[in-house]
Amino acid sequence: MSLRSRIASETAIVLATLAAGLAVGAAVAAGFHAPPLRVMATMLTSWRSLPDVVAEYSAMLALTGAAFAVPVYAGLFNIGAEGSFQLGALVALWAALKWGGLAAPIALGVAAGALLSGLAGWLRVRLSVNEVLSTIMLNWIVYWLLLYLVATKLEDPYNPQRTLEVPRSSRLPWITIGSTQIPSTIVIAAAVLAVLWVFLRMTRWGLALRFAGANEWTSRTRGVNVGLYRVASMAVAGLLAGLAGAIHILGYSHAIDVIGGAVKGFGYNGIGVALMGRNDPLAIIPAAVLFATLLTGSSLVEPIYGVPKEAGDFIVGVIVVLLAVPEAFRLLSRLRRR
Amino acid sequence: MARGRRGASAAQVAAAILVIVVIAGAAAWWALGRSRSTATTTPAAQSQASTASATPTTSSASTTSAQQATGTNKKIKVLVLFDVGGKGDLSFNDMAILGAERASKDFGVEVKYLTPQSTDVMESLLRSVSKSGQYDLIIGIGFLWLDPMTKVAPEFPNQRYAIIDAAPQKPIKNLAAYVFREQEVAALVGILAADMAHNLGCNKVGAVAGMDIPPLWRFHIGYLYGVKYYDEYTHSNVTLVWTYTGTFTNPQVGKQTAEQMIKNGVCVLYGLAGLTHIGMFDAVKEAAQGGAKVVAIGEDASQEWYDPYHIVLSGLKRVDVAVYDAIKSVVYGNFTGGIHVLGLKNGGLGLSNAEMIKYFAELAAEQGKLPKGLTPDDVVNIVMKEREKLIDQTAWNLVHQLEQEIISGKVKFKTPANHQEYQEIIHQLEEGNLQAALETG
Repeated sequence: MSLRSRIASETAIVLATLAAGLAVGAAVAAGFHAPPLRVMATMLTSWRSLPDVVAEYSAMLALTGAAFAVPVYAGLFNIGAEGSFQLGALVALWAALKWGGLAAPIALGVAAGALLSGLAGWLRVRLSVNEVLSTIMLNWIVYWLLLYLVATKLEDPYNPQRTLEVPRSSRLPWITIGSTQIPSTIVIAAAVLAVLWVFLRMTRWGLALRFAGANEWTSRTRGVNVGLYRVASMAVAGLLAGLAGAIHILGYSHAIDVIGGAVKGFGYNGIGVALMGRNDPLAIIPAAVLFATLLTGSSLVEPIYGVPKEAGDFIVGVIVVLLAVPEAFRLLSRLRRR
Repeated sequence: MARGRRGASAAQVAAAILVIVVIAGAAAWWALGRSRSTATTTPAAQSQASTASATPTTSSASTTSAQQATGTNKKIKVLVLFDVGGKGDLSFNDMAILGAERASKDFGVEVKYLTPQSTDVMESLLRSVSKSGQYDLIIGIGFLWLDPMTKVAPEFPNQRYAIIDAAPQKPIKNLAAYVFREQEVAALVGILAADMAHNLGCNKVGAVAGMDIPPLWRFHIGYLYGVKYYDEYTHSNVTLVWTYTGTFTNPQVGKQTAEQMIKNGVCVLYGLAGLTHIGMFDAVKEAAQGGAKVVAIGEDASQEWYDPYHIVLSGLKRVDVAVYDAIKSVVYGNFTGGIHVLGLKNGGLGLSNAEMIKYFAELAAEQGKLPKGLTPDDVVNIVMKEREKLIDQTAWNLVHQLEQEIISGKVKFKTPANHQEYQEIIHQLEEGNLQAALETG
């Protein structure tokens, strides 16, 4: 198939799946006796009411999406962005409370995420521990650790429902555009993804990484240290997710509540974003924006049209799954070959 | 083309998705614009926003009666913000709906609901709905809304807010905080628990509690007071085993804790730990099926439906009453900020009765959670029969007596300001000094 026709078919697929998803969403809305077009319109324009939420979610999902995408190039499936995100957030919060400033919290948050995820990569390479299982288990370890620390060591004695807040000196600034304000995390995320794209496409290491994932045996015989690249890809993934967690705390939520709601779900949703974005760091950005917009919109339609939030989330799920299906098939067939 | 086809195609895909998002956004914008110009009968949020912001609320100051407010003026609009759990938790949030729907029926107000996507967006969400200016009252359900409310409420002095089951450090003029005097209901439960233990032939009642925080201190004081109150009249020597599990969200821990307590001879277990004590219900059910004589008591909502043969009673924390009162205050134009304490006297606390048991059994049935083969009416009948078996008339008489003493103000519970004060009260109660739990005077 020529390049041209591949692009054409890919575009057609994206358009068709998106149209199908929107149609299903409209049908669901109609099922709740709500005006279908207006419900979908509200969901797709949620940035009008909540620009900061859409911006923040986009930034987070783009980074955690990339955290899934990078190891895929090396042939690994990283489910651990959730854990790295939460550990990054936790460590950044702790560091901010201890030392203030921005450098230490971000650096330590990123390092913690990278170490956690790198550990799963090392277990895979050294001991053949399946990275899907190990990352899921690590996610749970981090989650319970987080809940424990949030309710004990980090608790705000005057607000027992959450941790102490990040001090002023450690908060990332917000950007003002006209009358709206959005967190600067979106700029950080976009910059990081651009760098990542350049790294993967235009450097020797990026090529070697993709090489290692595409054909392990050939890579080995050509002198590529496959194991090293795999561990590195996981560490980079952890770095991205850890960064996301750190800047989420420093730039947006400033504290974690006792149920961990402020840091939950970003890692798992990132998988959907990566699949929608065909695993490409740049394509992940619009995918993340779409996901964030829909996710934010799903709670907005409840008070306006009486469509329950569960139905809104269902619509989001349908659209995301449909858009993700082609890439998911591709990855699964690769997994079977492994 | 060293970078290969993949690079090019992926960039193209990115562009394609971007284009689609832009087109979809434009289409959506157009659709919204259209709906705005055509919608006159059903006021969409956007169309309301502009008109409502000019006159922020149906001015309560000029409104002298409810009739006037609902009849001549614009319909009062209330927004209920759920806890993250949202609808269908068969507890806090569902009780809020109960209260809001009742208010909607009684006063003709329009009630809207909103479930936040997660805790970190609560503040933005609250600011956004406040800015829209279309709601006469915004009610936050549960303590997670405390932080957002304390931050956002001062920014919109003309917007009225209410929060249920939490109160800010310093009162805020436009925020009505509804809190409960938990000691009162726990004391009534304590009497009945002690009597049930007595009739089951054991001398220990227990509680599986959540975290060591002020509302739980109040429950502890009340529960122990009730047990000792029963003791004073019957000399039955029932003792209380109180256990903090440290969590409100872990049924597994609740189950293990309850199993341990049952093993140690506790036969009446009071669940004060949210989701955690669902595990306690399971432990009680298993022990009972294994031949042990144990029963459980629920809290917050009427939880008998979960296992009507073994959950014979619930202490009620009437979130519905708080929501109803808040809406009523806006309708009648006597909304005031600050702290509103609910207790037995104003119906904010109580013991589960047939009506409440049935209401929550019906909710559970709707969600398919009712035990197989039972109808809501069955649940009520079973519970009432169990109560007859387990609770003597003397205990009910004591309950009514204490209830009267509380309502008349003769018995007024102290609220401990810190952990030390709390422990001192508990210590005194253990010694049999009932007065220690009460305000002096």
